[in-house]
Amino acid sequence: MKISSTECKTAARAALIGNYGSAVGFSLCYFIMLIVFSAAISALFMLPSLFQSLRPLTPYQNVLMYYLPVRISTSLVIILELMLMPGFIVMCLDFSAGKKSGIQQLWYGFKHQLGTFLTMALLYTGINFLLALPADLITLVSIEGTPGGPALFVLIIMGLLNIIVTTYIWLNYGLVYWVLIENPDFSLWEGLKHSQQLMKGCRGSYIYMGFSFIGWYLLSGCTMGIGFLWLYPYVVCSFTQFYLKRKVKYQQETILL
Amino acid sequence: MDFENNFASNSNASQNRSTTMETVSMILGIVSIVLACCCGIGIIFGGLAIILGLLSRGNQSMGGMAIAGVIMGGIGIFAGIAGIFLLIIFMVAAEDTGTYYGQAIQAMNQISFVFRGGMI
Repeated sequence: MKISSTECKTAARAALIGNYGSAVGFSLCYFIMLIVFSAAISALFMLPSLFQSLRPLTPYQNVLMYYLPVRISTSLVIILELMLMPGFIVMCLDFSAGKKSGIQQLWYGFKHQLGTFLTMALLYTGINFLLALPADLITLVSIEGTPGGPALFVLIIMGLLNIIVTTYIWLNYGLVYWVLIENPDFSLWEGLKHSQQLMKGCRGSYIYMGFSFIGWYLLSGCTMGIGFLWLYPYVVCSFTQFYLKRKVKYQQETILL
Repeated sequence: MDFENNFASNSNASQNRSTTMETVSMILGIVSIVLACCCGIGIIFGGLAIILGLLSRGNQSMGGMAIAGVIMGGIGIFAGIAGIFLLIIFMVAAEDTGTYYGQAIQAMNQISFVFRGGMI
Protein backbone atom coordinates (compact mmCIF):
# COMPACT_ATOMS: atom_id res chain seq x y z
CA MET A 1 0.00 0.00 0.00
CA LYS A 2 1.39 3.33 -1.02
CA ILE A 3 0.84 6.64 0.69
CA SER A 4 1.96 9.51 -1.48
CA SER A 5 4.66 11.62 0.11
CA THR A 6 3.74 14.56 -2.13
CA GLU A 7 0.11 14.44 -1.01
CA CYS A 8 1.13 14.38 2.65
CA LYS A 9 3.48 17.32 2.18
CA THR A 10 0.90 19.34 0.23
CA ALA A 11 -1.71 18.73 2.93
CA ALA A 12 0.87 19.67 5.61
CA ARG A 13 1.67 22.96 3.87
CA ALA A 14 -2.04 23.71 3.50
CA ALA A 15 -2.64 22.97 7.19
CA LEU A 16 0.22 25.25 8.19
CA ILE A 17 -0.88 28.25 6.11
CA GLY A 18 -2.16 30.86 8.55
CA ASN A 19 -0.59 28.99 11.46
CA TYR A 20 3.09 29.63 10.81
CA GLY A 21 3.27 32.25 13.59
CA SER A 22 2.21 29.71 16.23
CA ALA A 23 4.25 26.91 14.66
CA VAL A 24 7.47 28.94 14.46
CA GLY A 25 6.90 30.28 18.00
CA PHE A 26 6.46 26.71 19.20
CA SER A 27 9.63 25.57 17.41
CA LEU A 28 11.55 28.49 18.87
CA CYS A 29 10.50 27.63 22.44
CA TYR A 30 11.16 23.94 21.77
CA PHE A 31 14.70 24.58 20.53
CA ILE A 32 15.49 27.18 23.21
CA MET A 33 14.38 24.77 25.92
CA LEU A 34 16.49 21.96 24.50
CA ILE A 35 19.55 24.19 24.06
CA VAL A 36 19.27 25.76 27.53
CA PHE A 37 18.65 22.40 29.19
CA SER A 38 21.49 20.80 27.24
CA ALA A 39 23.90 23.63 28.16
CA ALA A 40 22.87 23.59 31.83
CA ILE A 41 23.12 19.84 32.19
CA SER A 42 26.46 19.71 30.36
CA ALA A 43 27.85 22.47 32.57
CA LEU A 44 26.64 20.66 35.67
CA PHE A 45 28.16 17.33 34.69
CA MET A 46 31.34 18.74 33.19
CA LEU A 47 32.14 21.01 36.11
CA PRO A 48 34.30 18.45 37.96
CA SER A 49 36.52 17.97 34.89
CA LEU A 50 37.54 21.66 35.07
CA PHE A 51 39.31 20.98 38.34
CA GLN A 52 41.08 17.95 36.97
CA SER A 53 44.84 18.20 36.68
CA LEU A 54 46.51 17.68 33.31
CA ARG A 55 47.96 14.34 34.35
CA PRO A 56 46.93 11.38 32.15
CA LEU A 57 43.86 9.64 33.55
CA THR A 58 43.43 5.97 34.30
CA PRO A 59 40.59 4.23 32.41
CA TYR A 60 38.56 4.20 35.65
CA GLN A 61 38.98 7.98 36.03
CA ASN A 62 38.11 8.42 32.36
CA VAL A 63 34.81 6.61 32.86
CA LEU A 64 34.02 8.65 35.95
CA MET A 65 35.09 12.05 34.66
CA TYR A 66 34.10 11.97 31.00
CA TYR A 67 32.15 8.94 29.83
CA LEU A 68 29.42 8.89 32.45
CA PRO A 69 28.78 12.67 32.50
CA VAL A 70 28.56 12.82 28.69
CA ARG A 71 26.30 9.76 28.49
CA ILE A 72 24.01 10.89 31.31
CA SER A 73 23.66 14.45 30.01
CA THR A 74 22.98 13.23 26.46
CA SER A 75 20.37 10.78 27.74
CA LEU A 76 18.63 13.47 29.79
CA VAL A 77 18.46 15.78 26.77
CA ILE A 78 17.00 12.96 24.64
CA ILE A 79 14.40 12.26 27.36
CA LEU A 80 13.36 15.93 27.43
CA GLU A 81 13.19 16.00 23.62
CA LEU A 82 10.98 12.91 23.59
CA MET A 83 8.77 14.37 26.31
CA LEU A 84 8.25 17.59 24.35
CA MET A 85 7.52 15.74 21.11
CA PRO A 86 3.84 14.92 21.98
CA GLY A 87 3.15 18.66 22.28
CA PHE A 88 4.53 19.23 18.81
CA ILE A 89 2.40 16.43 17.41
CA VAL A 90 -0.77 17.63 19.18
CA MET A 91 -0.20 21.08 17.68
CA CYS A 92 0.12 19.58 14.18
CA LEU A 93 -2.96 17.40 14.72
CA ASP A 94 -4.85 20.55 15.75
CA PHE A 95 -3.69 22.37 12.60
CA SER A 96 -4.70 19.38 10.48
CA ALA A 97 -8.14 19.48 12.09
CA GLY A 98 -8.46 23.16 11.21
CA LYS A 99 -8.13 24.28 14.84
CA LYS A 100 -5.91 26.97 16.29
CA SER A 101 -3.08 25.76 18.46
CA GLY A 102 0.35 26.78 19.61
CA ILE A 103 2.68 27.18 22.53
CA GLN A 104 0.08 26.04 25.09
CA GLN A 105 0.64 22.48 23.89
CA LEU A 106 4.37 22.50 24.69
CA TRP A 107 3.89 20.67 28.00
CA TYR A 108 1.33 18.19 26.67
CA GLY A 109 3.66 15.23 27.33
CA PHE A 110 4.02 16.27 30.96
CA LYS A 111 0.35 17.05 31.55
CA HIS A 112 -1.30 14.11 29.79
CA GLN A 113 -0.29 10.43 29.89
CA LEU A 114 2.89 11.37 31.72
CA GLY A 115 3.60 7.76 32.75
CA THR A 116 3.18 6.41 29.22
CA PHE A 117 5.32 9.04 27.51
CA LEU A 118 7.99 8.91 30.22
CA THR A 119 8.18 5.09 30.02
CA MET A 120 8.60 5.34 26.27
CA ALA A 121 11.29 8.00 26.54
CA LEU A 122 13.15 5.94 29.15
CA LEU A 123 12.79 2.78 27.08
CA TYR A 124 14.14 4.43 23.94
CA THR A 125 17.00 6.11 25.81
CA GLY A 126 17.82 2.82 27.56
CA ILE A 127 18.00 0.94 24.25
CA ASN A 128 20.18 3.70 22.82
CA PHE A 129 22.44 3.58 25.86
CA LEU A 130 22.83 -0.20 25.75
CA LEU A 131 23.57 -0.18 22.00
CA ALA A 132 26.26 2.45 22.42
CA LEU A 133 27.77 0.83 25.52
CA PRO A 134 30.05 -1.82 23.92
CA ALA A 135 31.48 0.63 21.39
CA ASP A 136 32.07 3.20 24.12
CA LEU A 137 33.77 0.65 26.35
CA ILE A 138 36.09 -0.46 23.56
CA THR A 139 36.99 3.15 22.81
CA LEU A 140 37.65 3.78 26.50
CA VAL A 141 39.79 0.67 26.93
CA SER A 142 41.87 1.53 23.89
CA ILE A 143 42.15 5.16 24.96
CA GLU A 144 45.93 5.02 24.72
CA GLY A 145 45.81 4.44 21.00
CA THR A 146 43.34 3.90 18.18
CA PRO A 147 41.51 0.57 18.39
CA GLY A 148 42.83 -1.93 15.91
CA GLY A 149 42.29 -5.56 14.85
CA PRO A 150 39.50 -7.36 16.70
CA ALA A 151 38.47 -4.23 18.62
CA LEU A 152 37.88 -2.33 15.37
CA PHE A 153 35.89 -5.28 14.01
CA VAL A 154 33.65 -5.28 17.11
CA LEU A 155 33.20 -1.51 16.76
CA ILE A 156 32.02 -1.89 13.16
CA ILE A 157 29.67 -4.76 14.09
CA MET A 158 28.21 -2.75 16.97
CA GLY A 159 27.78 0.27 14.69
CA LEU A 160 25.89 -1.86 12.14
CA LEU A 161 23.77 -3.42 14.90
CA ASN A 162 22.92 0.05 16.17
CA ILE A 163 21.77 1.12 12.69
CA ILE A 164 19.69 -2.05 12.24
CA VAL A 165 17.96 -1.78 15.64
CA THR A 166 17.28 1.95 15.22
CA THR A 167 15.82 1.35 11.75
CA TYR A 168 13.68 -1.49 13.10
CA ILE A 169 12.31 0.77 15.87
CA TRP A 170 11.74 3.60 13.38
CA LEU A 171 9.93 1.39 10.88
CA ASN A 172 7.70 -0.38 13.40
CA TYR A 173 6.97 2.14 16.10
CA GLY A 174 7.38 5.39 14.18
CA LEU A 175 3.68 6.25 14.59
CA VAL A 176 3.39 5.40 18.28
CA TYR A 177 3.14 9.04 19.43
CA TRP A 178 0.20 9.74 17.15
CA VAL A 179 -1.51 6.51 18.25
CA LEU A 180 -1.05 7.29 21.95
CA ILE A 181 -2.25 10.90 21.59
CA GLU A 182 -5.39 9.90 19.73
CA ASN A 183 -6.07 6.98 22.05
CA PRO A 184 -5.35 8.21 25.58
CA ASP A 185 -6.76 5.03 27.10
CA PHE A 186 -4.12 2.89 25.38
CA SER A 187 -1.23 1.52 27.42
CA LEU A 188 2.27 1.89 25.98
CA TRP A 189 2.31 -1.72 24.78
CA GLU A 190 -1.07 -1.35 23.08
CA GLY A 191 0.21 1.81 21.41
CA LEU A 192 3.36 0.07 20.20
CA LYS A 193 1.33 -2.87 18.89
CA HIS A 194 -1.14 -0.62 17.08
CA SER A 195 1.71 1.41 15.57
CA GLN A 196 3.25 -1.81 14.27
CA GLN A 197 -0.09 -2.77 12.67
CA LEU A 198 -0.41 0.66 11.06
CA MET A 199 3.11 0.51 9.68
CA LYS A 200 2.51 -2.84 8.00
CA GLY A 201 2.58 -2.38 4.24
CA CYS A 202 3.57 1.26 4.20
CA ARG A 203 7.14 1.12 5.48
CA GLY A 204 8.48 1.98 2.03
CA SER A 205 6.39 5.14 1.87
CA TYR A 206 7.50 6.04 5.40
CA ILE A 207 11.19 5.63 4.54
CA TYR A 208 10.73 7.55 1.29
CA MET A 209 9.06 10.42 3.08
CA GLY A 210 11.77 10.51 5.75
CA PHE A 211 14.52 10.68 3.14
CA SER A 212 12.65 13.20 0.99
CA PHE A 213 13.44 15.86 3.59
CA ILE A 214 17.23 15.53 3.20
CA GLY A 215 17.38 18.48 0.78
CA TRP A 216 15.35 20.58 3.20
CA TYR A 217 17.68 19.69 6.07
CA LEU A 218 20.72 20.69 4.00
CA LEU A 219 19.06 23.97 3.04
CA SER A 220 18.16 24.69 6.67
CA GLY A 221 21.73 23.88 7.65
CA CYS A 222 22.86 26.66 5.26
CA THR A 223 20.79 29.15 7.26
CA MET A 224 22.76 28.49 10.46
CA GLY A 225 19.78 26.53 11.79
CA ILE A 226 17.25 29.39 11.50
CA GLY A 227 15.41 27.51 8.74
CA PHE A 228 14.67 24.66 11.15
CA LEU A 229 12.10 26.90 12.84
CA TRP A 230 9.94 26.54 9.72
CA LEU A 231 11.14 23.12 8.64
CA TYR A 232 10.45 21.24 11.87
CA PRO A 233 6.69 22.02 11.97
CA TYR A 234 6.53 21.14 8.26
CA VAL A 235 8.19 17.75 8.84
CA VAL A 236 6.03 16.91 11.87
CA CYS A 237 2.88 18.05 10.03
CA SER A 238 3.81 15.91 7.01
CA PHE A 239 4.17 12.83 9.21
CA THR A 240 0.90 13.76 10.91
CA GLN A 241 -0.77 13.74 7.49
CA PHE A 242 0.90 10.40 6.78
CA TYR A 243 -0.58 9.01 10.00
CA LEU A 244 -4.04 10.40 9.29
CA LYS A 245 -4.08 8.98 5.74
CA ARG A 246 -2.77 5.63 6.94
CA LYS A 247 -5.37 5.52 9.70
CA VAL A 248 -8.21 6.06 7.23
CA LYS A 249 -6.87 3.26 5.00
CA TYR A 250 -6.42 0.96 7.99
CA GLN A 251 -10.03 1.54 9.08
CA GLN A 252 -11.21 0.76 5.53
CA GLU A 253 -9.14 -2.45 5.51
CA THR A 254 -10.53 -3.50 8.91
CA ILE A 255 -14.12 -2.93 7.74
CA LEU A 256 -13.48 -4.95 4.56
CA LEU A 257 -12.08 -7.84 6.60
CA MET B 1 -9.33 13.56 21.31
CA ASP B 2 -11.27 13.63 18.10
CA PHE B 3 -9.09 14.98 15.35
CA GLU B 4 -10.41 12.81 12.56
CA ASN B 5 -13.87 14.43 12.32
CA ASN B 6 -12.39 17.71 11.29
CA PHE B 7 -9.64 16.24 9.16
CA ALA B 8 -11.67 15.66 6.01
CA SER B 9 -13.24 19.10 6.05
CA ASN B 10 -9.87 20.71 6.65
CA SER B 11 -8.44 19.41 3.37
CA ASN B 12 -10.43 22.11 1.59
CA ALA B 13 -10.28 24.67 4.36
CA SER B 14 -6.91 26.25 3.66
CA GLN B 15 -6.78 26.96 -0.01
CA ASN B 16 -4.86 30.19 0.10
CA ARG B 17 -1.18 30.80 -0.28
CA SER B 18 0.61 32.87 2.29
CA THR B 19 1.20 36.23 0.64
CA THR B 20 3.14 37.46 3.67
CA MET B 21 5.62 34.62 3.34
CA GLU B 22 5.88 35.23 -0.40
CA THR B 23 6.74 38.87 0.20
CA VAL B 24 9.25 38.02 2.93
CA SER B 25 10.78 35.40 0.65
CA MET B 26 11.25 37.94 -2.13
CA ILE B 27 12.76 40.52 0.24
CA LEU B 28 15.14 37.93 1.68
CA GLY B 29 16.08 36.89 -1.86
CA ILE B 30 17.02 40.48 -2.71
CA VAL B 31 18.94 40.84 0.56
CA SER B 32 20.79 37.58 -0.14
CA ILE B 33 22.04 38.90 -3.49
CA VAL B 34 23.04 42.23 -1.97
CA LEU B 35 24.94 40.52 0.86
CA ALA B 36 26.34 37.73 -1.28
CA CYS B 37 29.88 39.06 -1.01
CA CYS B 38 29.72 39.52 2.80
CA CYS B 39 31.46 36.36 4.00
CA GLY B 40 28.57 34.00 3.29
CA ILE B 41 25.80 36.04 4.92
CA GLY B 42 24.00 35.90 1.58
CA ILE B 43 23.85 32.11 1.91
CA ILE B 44 21.84 32.40 5.15
CA PHE B 45 19.34 34.83 3.64
CA GLY B 46 19.21 32.88 0.39
CA GLY B 47 18.42 29.65 2.24
CA LEU B 48 15.65 31.36 4.19
CA ALA B 49 14.24 32.92 1.00
CA ILE B 50 14.02 29.49 -0.64
CA ILE B 51 12.48 27.83 2.44
CA LEU B 52 9.84 30.54 2.89
CA GLY B 53 9.14 30.69 -0.85
CA LEU B 54 8.57 26.95 -1.10
CA LEU B 55 6.46 26.74 2.05
CA SER B 56 4.32 29.75 1.14
CA ARG B 57 2.57 27.91 -1.69
CA GLY B 58 0.26 25.87 0.57
CA ASN B 59 -1.58 23.41 -1.65
CA GLN B 60 -1.45 25.65 -4.71
CA SER B 61 1.27 26.52 -7.18
CA MET B 62 3.81 29.15 -6.18
CA GLY B 63 2.97 32.82 -6.59
CA GLY B 64 5.07 35.27 -8.57
CA MET B 65 6.81 36.78 -5.56
CA ALA B 66 7.59 33.34 -4.14
CA ILE B 67 9.13 32.27 -7.46
CA ALA B 68 11.17 35.49 -7.50
CA GLY B 69 12.25 34.85 -3.90
CA VAL B 70 13.30 31.26 -4.63
CA ILE B 71 15.24 32.25 -7.76
CA MET B 72 16.96 35.17 -6.08
CA GLY B 73 17.64 33.06 -3.00
CA GLY B 74 19.27 30.46 -5.25
CA ILE B 75 21.35 33.14 -6.95
CA GLY B 76 22.26 34.54 -3.51
CA ILE B 77 23.44 31.13 -2.29
CA PHE B 78 25.40 30.52 -5.48
CA ALA B 79 26.96 33.99 -5.35
CA GLY B 80 27.72 33.57 -1.64
CA ILE B 81 29.53 30.27 -2.23
CA ALA B 82 31.36 31.79 -5.20
CA GLY B 83 32.29 34.77 -3.03
CA ILE B 84 33.76 32.50 -0.35
CA PHE B 85 35.77 30.62 -3.00
CA LEU B 86 37.00 33.89 -4.49
CA LEU B 87 37.98 35.13 -1.04
CA ILE B 88 39.99 31.96 -0.45
CA ILE B 89 41.67 32.27 -3.86
CA PHE B 90 42.36 35.94 -3.16
CA MET B 91 43.94 35.15 0.20
CA VAL B 92 46.05 32.35 -1.25
CA ALA B 93 47.15 34.65 -4.04
CA ALA B 94 48.08 37.28 -1.47
CA GLU B 95 50.73 34.93 -0.15
CA ASP B 96 52.53 35.29 -3.44
CA THR B 97 53.49 38.98 -3.65
CA GLY B 98 54.54 38.54 -7.26
CA THR B 99 50.92 38.53 -8.44
CA TYR B 100 48.73 41.53 -9.04
CA TYR B 101 46.33 40.49 -6.23
CA GLY B 102 49.23 39.95 -3.86
CA GLN B 103 50.52 43.46 -4.50
CA ALA B 104 47.02 44.88 -4.09
CA ILE B 105 46.56 43.10 -0.76
CA GLN B 106 49.95 44.30 0.44
CA ALA B 107 49.09 47.88 -0.53
CA MET B 108 45.76 47.60 1.31
CA ASN B 109 47.50 46.21 4.38
CA GLN B 110 49.97 49.09 4.35
CA ILE B 111 47.15 51.67 4.05
CA SER B 112 45.24 50.05 6.90
CA PHE B 113 48.46 49.95 8.98
CA VAL B 114 49.01 53.69 8.41
CA PHE B 115 45.39 54.48 9.30
CA ARG B 116 45.80 52.56 12.56
CA GLY B 117 48.66 54.91 13.50
CA GLY B 118 51.61 52.86 12.31
CA MET B 119 54.44 53.90 10.07
CA ILE B 120 55.59 52.30 6.83
